[in-house]
Amino acid sequence: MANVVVMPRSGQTMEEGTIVEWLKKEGDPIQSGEPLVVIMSDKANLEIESDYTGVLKKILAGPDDGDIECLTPIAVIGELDEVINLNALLAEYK
Amino acid sequence: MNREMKIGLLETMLKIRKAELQLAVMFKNGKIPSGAHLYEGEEAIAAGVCANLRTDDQITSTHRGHGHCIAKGMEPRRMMAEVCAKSTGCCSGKGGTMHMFDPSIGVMGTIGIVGGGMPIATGLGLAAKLQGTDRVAVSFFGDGASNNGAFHESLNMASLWKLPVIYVCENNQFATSVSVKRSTPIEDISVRAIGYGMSGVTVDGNKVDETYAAAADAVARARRGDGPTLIECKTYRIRGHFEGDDAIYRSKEEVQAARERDPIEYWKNVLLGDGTISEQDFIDLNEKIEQLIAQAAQFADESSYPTPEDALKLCGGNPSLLVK
Repeated sequence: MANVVVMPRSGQTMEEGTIVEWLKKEGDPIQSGEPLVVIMSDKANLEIESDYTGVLKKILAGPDDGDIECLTPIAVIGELDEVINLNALLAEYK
Repeated sequence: MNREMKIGLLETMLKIRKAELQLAVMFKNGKIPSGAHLYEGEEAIAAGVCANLRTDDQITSTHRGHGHCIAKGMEPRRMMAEVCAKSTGCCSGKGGTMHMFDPSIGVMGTIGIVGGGMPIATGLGLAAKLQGTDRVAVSFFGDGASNNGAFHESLNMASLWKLPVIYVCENNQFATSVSVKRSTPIEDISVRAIGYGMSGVTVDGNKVDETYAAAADAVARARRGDGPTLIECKTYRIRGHFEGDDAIYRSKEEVQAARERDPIEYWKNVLLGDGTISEQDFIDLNEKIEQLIAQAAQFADESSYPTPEDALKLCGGNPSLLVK
């Protein structure tokens, strides 16, 4: 099942964050609990662990995108051979 | 401890662990409007202590209080809905993580003020005594709170009046970012009981048989009118102080070492070793709790927020207004 990774709300006062570095690239397998991405919040750089196990299917934003509002989709994790309809998956995040 | 009780402790710890990990994901995904302080790795304390309590016994809890609510008998879905500020929560969504109450099961508050629960528990103990019951009160608090004036005043008064109160210090090594080694000049916080002429004991807070046994002694002492006990449970706060705290004030190696002393793994291995459960029993139990918590999370997610009409519900201390 495809899971959407959002810019996490990592703190009560955090409204947006920037991506410092992806620790995985598209196609990499990932386990729940494994470091996935480093983000910069209003307070600090945070290493964000994946909540899902599967393959990093799509990266939707990167360090060049600047401030990204919390809860905006930044990646999709799914199964190896899964065909994902991105538009449908991301529709509810508009 | 009979078989049922042993398995019950494992079940309680699993419920707490899975609920907390689920809440961590919900927090990241913006489902929790407040902060969240999670109890991962400290489950053996709430489970072991509360297993000795009756429904009418009362507890005060802390900002890290989800585990105490579950251990005292709150349904996970009512706890999780409250944390998500939903109308189906134990305080109809108006309290949130740091104001969870359910007097019908003796949960007298997950109190956000550090040390704030101790004077309240002392008062609950005084009430139990004046009412002539053998009800007891338990106050959970952290190592940081043991340096708070409320701790010392509460212990003094409870010992002086032989109140049926158990003070449970969850020494998780950190007061926010401050290591207990930098805040507290003694190795065992339980020795402070001596200064107030009361019983004090330190146990391994990651071993639920130890927390259970210490609490059993303390509860028996309180019920027979022999006064309060201070129990220090040594543990480790696996997560940051709050979700989003990257905890740069400690090393990853230190956290990893603590993870290897996992209270659930410990108890699971004890029960496998003495034949209480089989590997398959554990897999079944784990699956059952996994489903329970997934359903609780869905319930919390799908519930509605309180409406303006709900604003005055639960106010004014009228028990008839309590949401059931």
